[in-house]
Amino acid sequence: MNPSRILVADDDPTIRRFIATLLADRGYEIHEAPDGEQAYRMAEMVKPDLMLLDLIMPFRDGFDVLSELKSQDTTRRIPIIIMSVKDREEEIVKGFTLGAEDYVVKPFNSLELVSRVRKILERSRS
Amino acid sequence: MMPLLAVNWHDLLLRSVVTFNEFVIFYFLALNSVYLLLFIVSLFEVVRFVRRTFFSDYQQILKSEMTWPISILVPAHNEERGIVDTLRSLLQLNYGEFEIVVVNDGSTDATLERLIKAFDLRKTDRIYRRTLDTARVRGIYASLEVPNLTVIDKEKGGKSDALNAGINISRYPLFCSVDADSVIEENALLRVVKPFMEHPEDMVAVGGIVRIINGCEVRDGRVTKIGLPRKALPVFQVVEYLRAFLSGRIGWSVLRSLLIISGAFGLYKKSDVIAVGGYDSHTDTEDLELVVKLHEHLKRQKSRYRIVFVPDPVCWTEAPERFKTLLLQRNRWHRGLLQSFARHWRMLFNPRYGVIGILALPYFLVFEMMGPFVEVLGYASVIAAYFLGILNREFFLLFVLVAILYGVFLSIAAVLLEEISFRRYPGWDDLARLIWYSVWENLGFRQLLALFKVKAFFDFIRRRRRWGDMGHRGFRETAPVPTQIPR
Amino acid sequence: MGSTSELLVQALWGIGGVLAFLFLFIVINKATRELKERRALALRQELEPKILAYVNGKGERLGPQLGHLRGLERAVAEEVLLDNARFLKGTARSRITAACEELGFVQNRVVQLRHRRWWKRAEAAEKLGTMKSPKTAAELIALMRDPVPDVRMRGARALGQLDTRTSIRPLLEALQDPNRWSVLRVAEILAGMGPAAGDELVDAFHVLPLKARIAAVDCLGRAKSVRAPAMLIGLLSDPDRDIRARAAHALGLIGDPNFTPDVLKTLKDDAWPVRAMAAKALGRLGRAEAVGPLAEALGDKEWWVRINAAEALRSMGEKGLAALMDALSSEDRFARHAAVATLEGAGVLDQYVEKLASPDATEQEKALAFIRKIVASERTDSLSQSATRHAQEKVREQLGRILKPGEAKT
Repeated sequence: MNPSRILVADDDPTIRRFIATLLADRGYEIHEAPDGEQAYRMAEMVKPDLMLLDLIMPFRDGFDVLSELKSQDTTRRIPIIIMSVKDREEEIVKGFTLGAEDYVVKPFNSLELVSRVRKILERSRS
Repeated sequence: MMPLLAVNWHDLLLRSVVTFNEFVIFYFLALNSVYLLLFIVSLFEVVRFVRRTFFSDYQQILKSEMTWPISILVPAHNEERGIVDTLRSLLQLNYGEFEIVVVNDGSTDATLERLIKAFDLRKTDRIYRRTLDTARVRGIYASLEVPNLTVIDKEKGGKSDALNAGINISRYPLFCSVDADSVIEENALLRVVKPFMEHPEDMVAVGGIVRIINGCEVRDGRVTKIGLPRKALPVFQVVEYLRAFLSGRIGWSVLRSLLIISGAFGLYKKSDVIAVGGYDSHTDTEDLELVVKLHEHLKRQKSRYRIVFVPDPVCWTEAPERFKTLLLQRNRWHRGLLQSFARHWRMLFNPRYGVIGILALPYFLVFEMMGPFVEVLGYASVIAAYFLGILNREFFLLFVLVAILYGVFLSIAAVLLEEISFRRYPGWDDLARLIWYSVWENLGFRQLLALFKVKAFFDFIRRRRRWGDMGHRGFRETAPVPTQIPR
Repeated sequence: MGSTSELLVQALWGIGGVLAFLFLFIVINKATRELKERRALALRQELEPKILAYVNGKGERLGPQLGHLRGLERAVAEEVLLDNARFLKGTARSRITAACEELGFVQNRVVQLRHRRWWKRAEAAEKLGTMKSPKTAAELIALMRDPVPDVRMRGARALGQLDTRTSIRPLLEALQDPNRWSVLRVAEILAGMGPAAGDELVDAFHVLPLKARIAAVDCLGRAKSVRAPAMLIGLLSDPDRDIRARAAHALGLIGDPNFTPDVLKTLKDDAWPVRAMAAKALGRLGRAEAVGPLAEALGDKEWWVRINAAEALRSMGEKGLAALMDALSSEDRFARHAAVATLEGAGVLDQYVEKLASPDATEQEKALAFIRKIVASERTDSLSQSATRHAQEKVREQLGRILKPGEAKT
């Protein structure tokens, strides 16, 4: 079976590298996007099995990318986990309303993130 | 008798040329020494500033609920070309709570229609207080998709009038004036609000640095790659801006007598601006007039207050690329300066107004108003001396020394300030060109500006008040074609 | 004459020399910086994978995995660790703290806390906060007496990051700092520290000076202490109006609907900022019994109270909207205008405009009645726009008739 493909969209290279290392060690195939526009384009191109999406990014913010992806037939089914420093109720609710699978507030727990990723991938496989 | 008299006249002419030339030398020496002092003050301040912001806690400010919300005011008159892009980029600003108020000041083009279409605007019956008097407001529009955007449609009343209408309808205690054709860096608001958070009681206004966008790559209303313009005229202005902002305004700000905050980007406490009656439409430069008015009012109230310049927040704006537009722009600036001076001359040499009365205004009187005359006449007189055959070597060397080389030194020193602090121009070729143009700036460009100012003075005397329209080329057209994503 | 000339030539050479020096300085400065950055980048690429492996659980100690580090290598290793610490918590975060202690980074920064230059001390405090080693609490507390406010602030923030109870007391003392910005920042730090800080704050509240108390009230709204509500309710009748206003706001933030009766009383306060904050809080608390008084507050003489009351009603769902609709026929002009603006913002007006085209006659009649009320309130900018731009001709025609009854007949 092919490894699951995960797209990491975050404008902070340190976070991208951290998550990439963390998940690559567990056998996932990682793709990285440094801004909102590329995140959107790569999601369309790569068709990842899961996407980790930051909210504050250049060119397009995470909510924008999320709602766009959820409105396209080709990308609607990609499960998306939002990862953001934004921790206000409205923002979290908005994330779920727009169709995110999960919402992780930064700073985050790395092992917890791995479990969430695994769980969501399992669920979408079945 | 006749020949004798003629010799006397000739003698007198020679002597006056020589005396005037000595005066010119003295003038340049004084002028450049003032600049040198400002540079030294600025050098210390820049180093201090960089040390302080070296570890930024902008993330902290961003998340803090105690950060004051800001209303961004965008006056727009015939800006159909860029207004939608500008707004899209403003909406991306990295800041907690802010609203954007666009004021369509009687545009005759499709500014309003484009806004309505792009943001799905609807006319609303929003209620607000008419604190300041303005031209009639035709309608207030709000957007269903962007809740923090408001557009005011009003009859033409000029930029000051538009800003006042914006002040009336804005909701928050701080407002930020922004030009419709400039690009604000995404963290600029965070940086410019910091002084307000540090001194919430006394901070009245904060100005940010303005940089020149010509030559930069712009995508989606955001500067993606910084570079110097290709043409010479805008590069001269880059050097001039560096000098004016990094070693001029910082210095004045430290001396607590900052008189100019660029209309392109400044943050004000609304209550104080309302207390002085808002923006004034009687001068050509409403930004300068407002700051001078604030100073005068607050000094009279004997209140402790601060009006400061922060060298870091960045607003990118388009510089004129042709002589004619540059002339119009500078003409307007200088006329505005003269008009404000004429309105507030009572502050001059008045100890009640502190450093401003004793130092800043006299500086403006001597070097900004009379200076250009001395400069222009000075060059003319040196040339006259040459043709009269009385230009001796010592004098010429001295002139080169104090008028040209001293200036070159100061221009390069400003580049140095940039290099030890913000380093916005990363490439070696950019640095080389900056230094090269710093030298040439003093051999033509500065003299040209002096000429412009002399002309502006006469225009001021003739009470000619014309809007120096910039004749925009629209920087978005100069940038490479943006890669469009399907929306 | 010749000597002056020579002197001048020398002066020219002199200034030429200064220029050359400036030029060289700029160039050398840039070159060394770029070289250093390049080396640091290369080192980072080499060290980062090892450090990340350790942070994600490989081995007990980082030191042996990295080998002996020198100069720039140490700086880069510290930077990598701290960069990753920013967005992590839990196990990975504690491993970073352990590594900083083990490699001596903590010790070095503690020494730096006594540096002669204030920004060096501030930098050290900031790094120690990120390193989060509980052993440094005493040193950071001592820093709260630093003469430079910036240093004190970094110290306070670092203390806040340590998550130890010992740091709460010194932070409470810092609430008395004369610099108001510092006070706000400290309050924020305390609020972020959770219930324990909230309890201490309740105990210390009455000995704080006024400005610190105002900041403390804000903290109480967010620190989630079980003892905060009782205290805040008491503060609703404090002699200071800012305290009353902040207390009402804080109760709204905590959001327990049972506060409603107490907050309702402040809606009649003499000071308008208190009324404005009370209206806002009532909207957050969301209890139906607040609807009536809020509707009344729509006619308050102060603009901010009206706006907040209208917004509060809007956020309260059906009942709030119903109250706003009732306000359309209010005697008070301000109340009517506030209601129109808010109903438009909530999209209610648009819904009714759509209903004009409804095939159901009763629906249509209801819509007409509603729209007539709006017309009667004289705020018709939005309606007139719909009258010219609405997609359906039927709607445009009906609106046109309501807006200009005289012309419609001709």
